[in-house]
Amino acid sequence: MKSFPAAQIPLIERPHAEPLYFAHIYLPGETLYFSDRNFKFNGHDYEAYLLDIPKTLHSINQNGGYLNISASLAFRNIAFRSYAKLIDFFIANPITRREMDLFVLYLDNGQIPGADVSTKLHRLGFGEIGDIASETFTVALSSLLHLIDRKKLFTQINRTNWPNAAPDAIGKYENLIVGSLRRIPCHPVIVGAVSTLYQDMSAIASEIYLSDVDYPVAFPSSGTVQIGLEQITYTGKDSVNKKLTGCTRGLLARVYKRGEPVWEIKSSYKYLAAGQSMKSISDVYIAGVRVAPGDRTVNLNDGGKSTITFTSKTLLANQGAHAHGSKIFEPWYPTGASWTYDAGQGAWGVAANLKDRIEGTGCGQGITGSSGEKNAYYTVTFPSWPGPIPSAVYVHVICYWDLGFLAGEFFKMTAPETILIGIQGSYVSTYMAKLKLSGTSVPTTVTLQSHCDMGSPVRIITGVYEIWIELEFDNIASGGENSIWSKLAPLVACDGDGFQDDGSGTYTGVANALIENSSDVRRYLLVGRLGRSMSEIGDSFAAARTTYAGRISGGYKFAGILSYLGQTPEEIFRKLDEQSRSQIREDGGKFELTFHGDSEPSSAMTIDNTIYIEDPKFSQTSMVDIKNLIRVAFDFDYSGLMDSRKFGGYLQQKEVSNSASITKYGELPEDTAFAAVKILAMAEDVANWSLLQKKDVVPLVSLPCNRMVRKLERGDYFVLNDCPIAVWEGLKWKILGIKEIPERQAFYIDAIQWVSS
Amino acid sequence: MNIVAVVVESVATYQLKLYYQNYLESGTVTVTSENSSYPKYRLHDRAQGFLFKGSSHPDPFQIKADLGASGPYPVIDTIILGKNHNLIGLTLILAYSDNDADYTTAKLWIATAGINRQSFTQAQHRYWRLSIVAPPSDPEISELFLTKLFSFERNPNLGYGYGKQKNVTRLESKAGYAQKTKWGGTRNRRIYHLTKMEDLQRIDIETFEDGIDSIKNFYIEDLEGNLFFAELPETLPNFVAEPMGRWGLDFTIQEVLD
Repeated sequence: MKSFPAAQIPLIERPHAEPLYFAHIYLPGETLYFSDRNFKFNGHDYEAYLLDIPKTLHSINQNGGYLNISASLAFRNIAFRSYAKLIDFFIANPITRREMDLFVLYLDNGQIPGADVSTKLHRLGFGEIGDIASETFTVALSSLLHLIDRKKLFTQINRTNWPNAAPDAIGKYENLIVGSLRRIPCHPVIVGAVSTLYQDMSAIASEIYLSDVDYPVAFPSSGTVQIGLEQITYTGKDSVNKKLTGCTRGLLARVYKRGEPVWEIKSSYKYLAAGQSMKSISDVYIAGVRVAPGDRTVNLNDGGKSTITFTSKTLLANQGAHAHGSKIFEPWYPTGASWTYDAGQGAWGVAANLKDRIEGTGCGQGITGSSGEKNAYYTVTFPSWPGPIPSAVYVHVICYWDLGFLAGEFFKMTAPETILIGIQGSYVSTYMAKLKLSGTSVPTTVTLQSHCDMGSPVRIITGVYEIWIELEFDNIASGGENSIWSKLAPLVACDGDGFQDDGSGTYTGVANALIENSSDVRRYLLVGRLGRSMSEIGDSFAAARTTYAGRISGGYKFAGILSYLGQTPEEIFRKLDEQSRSQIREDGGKFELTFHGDSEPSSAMTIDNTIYIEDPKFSQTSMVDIKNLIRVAFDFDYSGLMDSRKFGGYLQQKEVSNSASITKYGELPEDTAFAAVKILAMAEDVANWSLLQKKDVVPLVSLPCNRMVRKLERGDYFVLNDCPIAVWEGLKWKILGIKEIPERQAFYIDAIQWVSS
Repeated sequence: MNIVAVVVESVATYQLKLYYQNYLESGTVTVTSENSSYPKYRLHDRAQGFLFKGSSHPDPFQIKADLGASGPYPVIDTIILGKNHNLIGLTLILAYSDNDADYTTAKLWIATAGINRQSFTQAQHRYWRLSIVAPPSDPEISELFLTKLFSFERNPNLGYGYGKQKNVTRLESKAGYAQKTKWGGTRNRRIYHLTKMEDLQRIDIETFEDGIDSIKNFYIEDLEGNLFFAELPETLPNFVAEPMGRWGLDFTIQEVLD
């Protein structure tokens, strides 16, 4: 219910009244005090630059909800300050999208009161100027919610801010995250350039001809690229001929075919978790696989945004984990070989045979007539691996052994790690061992050891023909440019908490707390994101906050990514209202928030035939709107990592129904989805409200009233007496909207009957 | 019959007085200082609600009109300070000059609330200057008329309308409960009936209407001695030819609210 200063109430509610409307028009750096009369009040000179406000402001709705109003304000187009016409001033000082407060002041005997006892009716926005004539012009008015609806809320990822962003990130909204959320999809904003070979490339070529060097992501003027497994440094870029020049080829130099993907190697890769400073990021996932904290760096305030950075090593290493497509296996051969054995045993072959890539040549040990435990060591050495980190490393050994007699005999690899090849009691003539190393480091030395006792019969103990390494890579090079973008920039997601309160606890009352109460979220969006003033937040927000907190165990909490709710503030507020059985509106220049409770509301006033000026017109909600089975999907899978998209993208669902309605009408379902809700109890509570409102047709009334109802606001309840339908006499009705007709001092009320159960 | 004639004479004691010219409009006005949000043209914008404000208050604060280098200069015999000023109790001095150096006082008076009308000996000069002596705050003036009294040769006849324009709407509930709303103040309204006018008076009235361009507000003192700011709510209707070459005219004058 709208509150008026005590001194004004008698002046409003008596049979005669003298209303005076005036406006404060807010321009940059100044306020214009205009009315349709000239008078001094509250320290201001109000000037008659407006024409008959009551008439021109015809049809001001009490701007509940999101509906815009249909009203305009007429100005007198006369001299203003140094301007010959007021319109000239407004052209020089645009009024469009500026705001004004509209006040009413009730006078007694025409006297302007000394104290400010005016009442702010609305804060309105100015639209476009129209009907410009020599003496007058009008400016369209809009509701405050409509005005802010066009305000920017999201920032898009582009190449200006993120020149190295992956193509699929461009044009996407940076996440704005509310509440505590899991698997938040993060946008790859630093991934480096990618192209394909324009022509075949030899193993000694020093220039790399590419399909493009500047589009969509430009290769730097010098740097490192990778083709296949070969990483090539270059010192120049020729944008005309589309090639990289001054290349240094290494040990992995290969011949490549036209079409082979080429991508830039960067020192780090960055993902944008949110376009806000998040409260926290806990776990990080690459393609659904949780990443160890040491393998990524989280920055919660990276220039006001939240980012996750990977080193190239980590990023590429993890490409093996998400296993895109086929594998590449690259052999890596030794360049050095040696073998040693204890004296007193037989031996054959030479160490060089271990790296001659001929299976039938090698070296080995044999038992002689002497006795005692003997060892033999086969060692090969490799150059340092110049390529990328593989996803797996194997040591291949072609060998044989005969360890069949004495306990303690063995044949194993001892470097870079110990892996048993042959155990006591086994005999193998020719064996190809493939030993997988536990790490992904490429060793420079591999050593095998065999151990036997010379006291046993004369025989050959071990022999080794070849030792080499095999490296496993994900085949990120397959599929051309389109394919490798997704492989170089795999889906990264994180768990975390979104908007955080400031150190003063402005929105939650607790310093640095997570903003998730359904009232706090709206208040933060209005003030913290849309630039409204805290003074515009009505007291109803605090009341709603308390209601939300106690409504269910743990309270109503929002959790979601805002851009998934809508792209404009209006869409988002509408969704938040739908998902919390609430209504946000503007009244008296303030945003107000109402929760639709269950208990019988109190009545703001009784309306009877001394107040309504025409017969009330009754109707009912539409038959097609009857719904008695409400199905709510909630807990949205934002990243799609749960593979839920094929079934709609939500991870939970709740149904509520009304059996009496079903008996009457049959099952009439309504399917809805709450992307900002993750709590079952909250989704159910909201669904129950929807069911209550829709399980049957509900009476509506349109009620023209006199000035006595001025104190009513949207959302208020009243009792209607002198009702032509006897069974509705004295029942309570909820106001859906009020349209003020100032020139008549009349109000048209649209209301719906309160439904108790 | 004689008694009736006496009554007629008694009513006609007063004369309809019009002040419709403001020679500030045809001159160049300079002021000691000006608040740009309340510019000096408002001294002669014929709107009593829009204020001129100075931006300082030296002693004296002066408002000067230069009526141009070439004459002839109009005959001026009245100055009117519109209502809504903050000069109550201050000494005001109106003086004229032909060289902008040597000024002769035309009128000195102490300002009172509401409309201040001061008459003085007719004069024709290039420079006119109003001095506000020792203002305690920045002067605020709604309207300043430098004008000449215009009186009708023949006053309106008995039967003229005398009253006020109300601005009230009425709304009734279904049960007959009435609600009345007053929008703004009441306004003096006069409906005058002129008859048996000679050509000369008809021309005078035409001159008056031309002078206000049918749209400008003016000051009027009605037959009962009430001085107020007024307008023609409608342009003057046609003169009606009467016997003996005389003319008749019914017209309405209405007070202008602030």
